[in-house]
Amino acid sequence: MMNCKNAIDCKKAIESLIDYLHHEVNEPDQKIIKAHLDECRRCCNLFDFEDKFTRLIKEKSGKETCPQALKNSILKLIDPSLCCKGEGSRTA
Amino acid sequence: MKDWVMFLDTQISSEDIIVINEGEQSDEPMTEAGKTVTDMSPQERTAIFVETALPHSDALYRTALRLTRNVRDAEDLVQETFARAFKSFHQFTLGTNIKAWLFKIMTNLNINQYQKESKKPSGVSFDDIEDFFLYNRIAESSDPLQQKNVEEEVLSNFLDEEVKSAVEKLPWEFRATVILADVEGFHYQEIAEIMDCPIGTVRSRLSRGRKILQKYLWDYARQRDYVKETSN
Repeated sequence: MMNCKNAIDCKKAIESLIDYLHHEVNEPDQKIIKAHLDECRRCCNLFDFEDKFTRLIKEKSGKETCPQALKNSILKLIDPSLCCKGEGSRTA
Repeated sequence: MKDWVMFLDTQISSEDIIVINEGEQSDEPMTEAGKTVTDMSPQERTAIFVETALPHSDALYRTALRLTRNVRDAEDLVQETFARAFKSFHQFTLGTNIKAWLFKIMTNLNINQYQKESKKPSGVSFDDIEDFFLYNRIAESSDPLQQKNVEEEVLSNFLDEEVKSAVEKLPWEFRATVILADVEGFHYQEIAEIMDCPIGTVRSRLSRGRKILQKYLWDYARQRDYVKETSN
């Protein structure tokens, strides 16, 4: 049963693309899709492109970090004693 | 000691019951599993919150920037999210996914943005955008032997600002879904709980969101000559 050449066709593989790339298919199906991609160049190229596209979104829109001033004000609202350090806090 | 308590009291009008059951044990608090936050002393509670919730401020902030589309509102949203989360921390079950829990709070707080946007007709129909829009456009405008190179070139040419602006142009529900899945790496089930919708909806919003995004990016690519179109 394993390595069955016609376990799925291109249409089925493509229908699963979004789930496959987001690790949302179960292990047996994952193997079947992987086997299809190993032998179908067209699907392999498409899957590869969509995967690169995911990385593009992640890399180019996922870089910003929370400004320090905002972190400080969050800390202040949770525990004022935590953010007074280093701000010249004096102890009596 | 009083000012943050006052802040919380004035900023938070109502408390929602927010429970995220599914989740990986990625945020391991330094307490035995199953212990509830209620069992803790205030100091212990604050320490656990600082240790487990605050590390997600970068992820929340960059998502808030995309959702609100401006720095000022993003800062307010993140601050409000943490205020709400801290106030509701007793409802959080330790050992469950705190990142998803925080994102659910933020999404709930931002829901008015969605309501505002959904009342405004966008005037654009997304139904006729074909699947794998960008891949197909590149394929038809490049020599098959060169296609891989053209793909690489087009994708690497996009600037951060272009990708961010394309994401921000997406309708709210598609934007939030694409960010949660593709930037933050949440599973469908987690996104379904964060956005309070069925898993099938997550899946279709993700597919559609990605192809709309590809259409926007293709428009940029053409405007900026990232791809030379062959006449056909």
